[in-house]
Amino acid sequence: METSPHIGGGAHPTPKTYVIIAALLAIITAIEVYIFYIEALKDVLIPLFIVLSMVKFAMVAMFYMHLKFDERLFSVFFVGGLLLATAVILALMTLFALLPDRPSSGTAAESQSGHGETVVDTHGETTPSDTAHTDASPDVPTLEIGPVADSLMFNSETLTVSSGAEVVLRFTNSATTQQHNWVLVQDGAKDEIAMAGLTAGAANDWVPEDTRIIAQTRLIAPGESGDVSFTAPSAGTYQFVCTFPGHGATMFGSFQVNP
Amino acid sequence: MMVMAYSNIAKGNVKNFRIWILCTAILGATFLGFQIFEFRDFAVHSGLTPRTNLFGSSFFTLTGFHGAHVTVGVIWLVSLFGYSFKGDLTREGGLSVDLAALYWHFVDIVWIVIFTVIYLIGVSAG
Repeated sequence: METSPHIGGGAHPTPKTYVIIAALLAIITAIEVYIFYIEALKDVLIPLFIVLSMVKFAMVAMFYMHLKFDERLFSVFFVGGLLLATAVILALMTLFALLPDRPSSGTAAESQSGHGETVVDTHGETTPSDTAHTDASPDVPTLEIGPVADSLMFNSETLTVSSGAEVVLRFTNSATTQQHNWVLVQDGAKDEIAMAGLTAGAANDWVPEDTRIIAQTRLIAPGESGDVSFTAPSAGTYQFVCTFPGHGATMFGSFQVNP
Repeated sequence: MMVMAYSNIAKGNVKNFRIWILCTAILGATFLGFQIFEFRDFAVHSGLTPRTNLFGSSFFTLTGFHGAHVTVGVIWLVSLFGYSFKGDLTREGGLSVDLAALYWHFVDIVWIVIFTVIYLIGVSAG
């Protein structure tokens, strides 16, 4: 067996071993990317990823960083530092979980003056709100919604209105860090519209041009609120979704219009 | 690649060492090229910047610092390629190369963690 001498420890393995390790690392990475797209594994994905990446980590440390062939003391230093870092991160996460959320106080008052929302008519054309719209907005909205604290979810899964009703929906963003919007779309369209919102960009409040959009609020900053007025469409089921990047997967709900 | 470079310099095969160390540096530079492309694409086309949200801040901080470390690594590797023409590397039995390899693989190991946390778990957890 061909080995190379190494200072401070045993012998390095042959180039063949290195190539095998490299191939194994590539295979594990391919598996990770593949299972990322398997819907059935969704719930066990995170533990699976952690295990697979730990295997890769250990392989690189043992062979490429030759800890396996070095003095034991080096491994102790390496693993010791790793454990210390893990402990610090866990302690930080515990702190975050234990301390109460403190919403920023300054922004809530500003939101009261910010009622000039973008209003969308039932044909899906965006029109900036004018004085007529602002006057039409009553102080008491027909529907109220917001996020669940800082999680990416709406606090109502279902909203119900009657067809033809003049609806005023107020979105109150109680989150401390996340921006959100509320976009009413045709049933089944929420994922496509959320995806398209990515390319629409922040300048358009992450809302794309799409005829399946019935109504939308502007992008609402943490601590602020915004209204949208629209006429309830024909009876049926619709969807609402937050199109801020990454939110649409969990932040959506069903909009029922009764006859 | 890096281990092949080390294995060759330890055996005194400078010619093969140069090939492998250059391949390593080129792959490192390729990574940086992809990263610049990705940063630009996110910032310009998707509007994701460090100020956008928590994901944006974490993404750019973690991958940005990683990119800086890779840059240092690539410079280190190219320097070793240059030194190999002076003949110093073989006399010391490849210790400099081994140290560079340790650095390079540690940067690699960090990427294993970043890839899992940001690209796999971060994206799937939304």
